[in-house]
Amino acid sequence: MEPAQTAAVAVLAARDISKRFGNVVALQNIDFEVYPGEIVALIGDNGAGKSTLIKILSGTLSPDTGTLLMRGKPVSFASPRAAREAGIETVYQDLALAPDLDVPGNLFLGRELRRTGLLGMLDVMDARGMRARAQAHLESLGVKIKSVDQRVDTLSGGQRQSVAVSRSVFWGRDVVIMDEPTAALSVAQSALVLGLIKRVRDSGTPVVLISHNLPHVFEAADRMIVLRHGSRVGTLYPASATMEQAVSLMTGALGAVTESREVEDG
Amino acid sequence: MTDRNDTFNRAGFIGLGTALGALAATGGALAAGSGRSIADLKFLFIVKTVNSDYWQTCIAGGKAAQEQLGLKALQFTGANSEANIQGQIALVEDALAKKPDFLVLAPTSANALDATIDKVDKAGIKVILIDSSANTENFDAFLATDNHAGGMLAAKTLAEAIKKKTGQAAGQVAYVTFLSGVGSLTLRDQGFLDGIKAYPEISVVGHQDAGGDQSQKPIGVVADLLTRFPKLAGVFADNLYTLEGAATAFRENHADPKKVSLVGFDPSTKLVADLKAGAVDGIILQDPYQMGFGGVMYGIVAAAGINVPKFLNTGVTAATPENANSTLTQALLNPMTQRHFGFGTA
Amino acid sequence: MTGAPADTRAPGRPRLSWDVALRLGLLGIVIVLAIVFTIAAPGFLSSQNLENNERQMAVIGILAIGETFVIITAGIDLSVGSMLGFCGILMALALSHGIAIPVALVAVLAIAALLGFFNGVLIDTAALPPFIVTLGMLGILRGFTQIFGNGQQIGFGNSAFTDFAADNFLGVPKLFWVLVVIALGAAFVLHLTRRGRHVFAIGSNLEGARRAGINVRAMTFLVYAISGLLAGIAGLLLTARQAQGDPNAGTGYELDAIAAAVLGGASLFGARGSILGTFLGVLLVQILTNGLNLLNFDPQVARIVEGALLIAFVYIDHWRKRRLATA
Repeated sequence: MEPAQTAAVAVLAARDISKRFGNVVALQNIDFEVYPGEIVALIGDNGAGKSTLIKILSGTLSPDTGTLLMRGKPVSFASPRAAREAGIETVYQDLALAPDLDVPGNLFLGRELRRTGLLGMLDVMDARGMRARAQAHLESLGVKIKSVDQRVDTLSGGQRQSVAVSRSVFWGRDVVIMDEPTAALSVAQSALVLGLIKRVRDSGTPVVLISHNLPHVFEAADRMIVLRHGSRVGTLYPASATMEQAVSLMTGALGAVTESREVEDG
Repeated sequence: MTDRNDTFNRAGFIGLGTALGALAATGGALAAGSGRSIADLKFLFIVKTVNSDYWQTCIAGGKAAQEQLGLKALQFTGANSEANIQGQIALVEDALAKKPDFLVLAPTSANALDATIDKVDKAGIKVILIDSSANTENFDAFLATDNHAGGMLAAKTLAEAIKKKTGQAAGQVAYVTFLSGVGSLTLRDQGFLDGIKAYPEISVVGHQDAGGDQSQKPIGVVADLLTRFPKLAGVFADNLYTLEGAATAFRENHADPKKVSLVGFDPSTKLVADLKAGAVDGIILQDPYQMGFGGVMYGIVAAAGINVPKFLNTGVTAATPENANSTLTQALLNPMTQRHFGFGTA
Repeated sequence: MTGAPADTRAPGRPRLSWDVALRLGLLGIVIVLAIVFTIAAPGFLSSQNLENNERQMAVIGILAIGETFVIITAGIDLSVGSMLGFCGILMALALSHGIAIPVALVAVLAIAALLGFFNGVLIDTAALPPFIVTLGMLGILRGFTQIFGNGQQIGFGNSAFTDFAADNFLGVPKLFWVLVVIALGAAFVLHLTRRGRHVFAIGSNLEGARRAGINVRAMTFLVYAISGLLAGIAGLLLTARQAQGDPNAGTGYELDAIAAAVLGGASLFGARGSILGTFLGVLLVQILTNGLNLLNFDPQVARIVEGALLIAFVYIDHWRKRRLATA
């Protein structure tokens, strides 16, 4: 899997982003980029600035300085809604699923389809249409749930995560950001979700992945960007780097390798 | 109706005569003793609740007495509902602090107010109880309806209505109580049952309890009585809310006024209209105006140190479609505008 | 490429299982009671008794429908009983001063909706707990009702208005027709439209709904306005039925409305409930009360049974939630 970095334009990029909260500097001159067809992981210790960066990318916060670019064009997001409309979907750690609604209900939450004609003018939902679309979408992503008519709170943790991920992919035209997607999952469930994330990338949507779980990151990501104390301290490739290198970058051990090479073919 | 006239005349004579005669004495007693006149007296007037037609009429009677004699009323008040015992206790205890010369009180509960009444009495404040009794003996006068007599009068009125419509005082009747366990209502119900015994052909086949709900429940329980007993000839409702509910139930169930009769306690504008239209056959009228008026009068007299009669029966009258426009009935229904001093000429 | 390993956990229950079971159970109880009373209580099935029940159900039924919307958002509206009385007194005053029925109707209902809207504003904007806000409104409205009524019933001698409550249409009391029309409209909005879906979403996950772009603020205003409006309608109907404005009307009715909604499957935790369920809950209470009356039971017995049923239903709901959490 070779992201053609040099030739492609980043789908989403951040240039020279800084953010402070009062006296605390959360981010300092950060550059960040996501290229088409890749899973890029954002890793770092607690307080490194990962969640602040994600909030800026997803429109929840505005940067103090710096710019965001989508496919080379500067953008700014006044709200999470604006980021969504620009094509960036975020799956938060708490999933933000409605446990009492079924899978189509969650997939289309807040964006329910309307019937056509007179009923549509009366705001009637197209329940059948939503169900069919949800079913097809889950199948295309290989997500296996016995019935989409189940309430989401009857699903396992892995299935719920899969529904949340599927939802973001359904709407996210350009980038999907996932915050700790395997945090609360068992080994088997994590494998499920990581497989799903890879299929998302394969279907054409790049993924930004935040995770504390280095083994999972090494398993799924194509590229890792390491943050420490609000600065970007390195870029590593799971194919060529080791977990020890990643850890030392994250913690700031002396003599840490700050870059690793892309794996060369042949 | 003759029953009422005797009682009224007697009570009125005693009440008024005592009051007038005593006022002269009072004026003299007060003036001789302390340099105070009637107008210097202060009093408190506490009813069960001000949120009711009945109690508003009672208060109006008290105010009429107060204004004519120029007294200072410290307060006309009541709790926010007839069930709010603690509220009334608080009001009475406030009264103690204000040191009135006398207190006119309609106790919300026979037991719960005893201790407080005793305190008031011990403080040298004269206590005039109206409408409902208390268990303590430490009061100076008690003016009230004889509820048992009222129940018996209702029975008589109902029987006579049935007789007028069907030719004889016979058939099935039922009664509805607003709330079980309330002293005045229990007396009325008992009076009704005792009074109906005088008509051996009439049988009481059922009774219902509206559980204290003032709105829909009385309608429901009376409707259910009508369903249970299709041949029901009469219904007795022992207070305003049950009477209102019964009248509505009769209307909704298309009860035939030629076959079914309805008698109950306490009037309202709507019920009086129903009475005149013949949809209601009898309303037992109490005399809250007299209770208020007489209460204040007795208070004045007692405050002058005169021993007043301890019990005064303010009487009941049956208003029927026939006498609805009589002077007496009108005086009882509209005391503020049509009540005169003196004797009725009904 | 191999697909992801299939999730080996046993599949969960299909979506409607618990709701359907609860509603069928409720319907079952209603049918059993109806059969028992038909046999045991003479006159139960008579057309007059059916009409009485239909009339008696209307007021609480309409209150309960409004309450259902609010409960589904995990809120509560304790002010509906006082709102009922308040609107009833306003209407009686208006009519007694000779104001035309349509004008008075629109004015009073507008006030009801506005007061409900105000509840919603306090709850959403000031982030105050619904219990406290609506409890406060309960007291405020009842106080004004007593002041406006001056402690007395207010007659208004307008026979067109009172006839509405006494008359039938196609053999069924008009009061009941109003309940049916409101129930159908409410069911349409709540179960078929997107806004209705958003009501459930808010009760299910408030923050998630907000993030999904649902206008939580507007929806909160809306459901409390609906509750207020329906309470106003109930007040008008009761005033018509009693042929006078009663300052004590509706006292305690909010609890009956909430009980009926919960018996019908609404969960105070939010996101559960249905208009049909609420209707069945009201029907159950009415049949129970009526049947026991006809059998000459103390009317308090019906309240005891109703209270026991309520506890049983809430317990089942709680058990369902616990069972899911351990799955």
